[in-house]
Amino acid sequence: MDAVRTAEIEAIARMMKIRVSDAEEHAGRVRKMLDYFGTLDGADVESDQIRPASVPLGSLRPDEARPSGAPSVLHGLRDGYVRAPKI
Amino acid sequence: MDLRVSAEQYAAGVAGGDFTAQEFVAATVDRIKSSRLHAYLHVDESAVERARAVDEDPGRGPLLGMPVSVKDNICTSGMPTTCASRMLEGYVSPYEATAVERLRSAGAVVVGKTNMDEFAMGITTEFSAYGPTLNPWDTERVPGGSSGGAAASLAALECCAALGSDTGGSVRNPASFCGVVGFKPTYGAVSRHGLVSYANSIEQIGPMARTVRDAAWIFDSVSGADARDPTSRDVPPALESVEDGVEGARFGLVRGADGGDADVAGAAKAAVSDLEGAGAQFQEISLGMYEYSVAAYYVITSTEAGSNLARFDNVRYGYEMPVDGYEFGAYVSKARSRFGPEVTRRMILGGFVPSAGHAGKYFLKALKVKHKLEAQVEEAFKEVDYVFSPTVPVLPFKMGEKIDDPVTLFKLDANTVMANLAGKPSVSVPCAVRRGLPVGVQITGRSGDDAGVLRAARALERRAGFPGVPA
Repeated sequence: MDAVRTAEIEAIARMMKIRVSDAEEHAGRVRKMLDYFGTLDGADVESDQIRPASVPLGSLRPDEARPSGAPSVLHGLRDGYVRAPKI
Repeated sequence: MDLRVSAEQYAAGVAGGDFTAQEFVAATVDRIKSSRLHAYLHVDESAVERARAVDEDPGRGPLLGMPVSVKDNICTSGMPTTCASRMLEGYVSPYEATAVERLRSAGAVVVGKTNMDEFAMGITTEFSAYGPTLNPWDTERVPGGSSGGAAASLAALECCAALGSDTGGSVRNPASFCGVVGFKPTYGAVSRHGLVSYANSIEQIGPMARTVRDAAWIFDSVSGADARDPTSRDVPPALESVEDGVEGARFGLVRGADGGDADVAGAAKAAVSDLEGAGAQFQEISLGMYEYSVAAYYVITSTEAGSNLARFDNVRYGYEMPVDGYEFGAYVSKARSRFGPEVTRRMILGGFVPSAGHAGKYFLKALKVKHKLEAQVEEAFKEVDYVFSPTVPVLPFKMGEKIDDPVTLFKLDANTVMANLAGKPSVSVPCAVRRGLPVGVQITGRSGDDAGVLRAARALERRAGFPGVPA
């Protein structure tokens, strides 16, 4: 298989908002893992279909707001709002 | 105070007046505090007081103040839940997991939160951000993982029962390495409400104990449908039939499965003889997708981890890091530098394998393998009642020995991931000691037959003559 380039790993990390201090070291281990995942090429599943699981809406709990104690654990809480970095 | 008692013996001791819950819990907490195993990340200072309250009101439940440990990725109110990560350092959940609520309602006292691989990503507990747990059988060796702290806490008599979580063997692997019982229930049999998600399509909270009967008791205490987890369901109780034996039961041995190194294979063979002696029959079965199950498992779990861990942006909860002067993306990136190296790698993988241009090769193929494996397992269960194998193909190994070889570590999951991918109940039960180290074997059953799996494990436990934990 094509080796995954360090630059590609860095790009994925950037998109996932992960700061990678030693990209080359991570890339080496990620490559090993991806090489191993390549064993899936040997699985005879080309003609198989993915069967998505489905759950009837009626089986799900109501989508409604419920009070919780959550705000007490939110750091950066000010006047009932969470203070976030600027976007 | 002799702490070497089963959960059942503990309850009988309190009920019979041999000792009080307060005395036993106090002795347990003292033992934890003097231990160098690092099984716990946090000890509840109010545990003894809670035990005293049970003594004063025995109507608080059948567990009668029993000291239990809870893995640090299961939410508890009043105690930190860090997932062994610096990212959640000091975080205290505002709510409690359903399984913990049920344990407390049954009278248990949670004595503390146990160590684990960070966010449950690992099988040695070496990936904990707070340092590894040592194996009570040999402190130079790993206790297994990711619920290594839970297994060590049991083997070292630092609790009577434990809750772990199992995504690909994380209850069964450390149970095998520490010589205790670890049970991964049918998917949905125990509510996942309050379990910090890693790969929620396959993970389960599972009981761990020093005996199969105790594991069945704890399972009965925490299992059942929960409105807060729509995947949860009721299953029949296990303890009431756990002594019914395996006369006439059919066991399958997967053709081509990893039978383990010589020590493990020998112990597993002796366990087969024990079960045959109890009336079980063995035959080979074929599962064509078995050899691809580990790769499929890691692709699927990495993908789900990439999504699940995206919530940790440190804005609403996490550790103290002022937002002033940061643009949102830069803030999140910097905050996430607290993720450990293995979590970072899994998140990168989780971004890569389902991405455009790669999904067909990795993620979609892994899903197809999972679905085909599920179908093959269903077919196999028309021929047999249980699938049998060693839990882990090797004995507990030395700290640091395999930490730099991710693929070797992956392959140690060869026998455990099938139960997760197919949603089946599966138990590891200790059966032998080789070279001074415990060996566990695994019994997997049909969905919903949790009671049957524990019954088979009990039949083996009765015959195997495992000497018990070393403490």
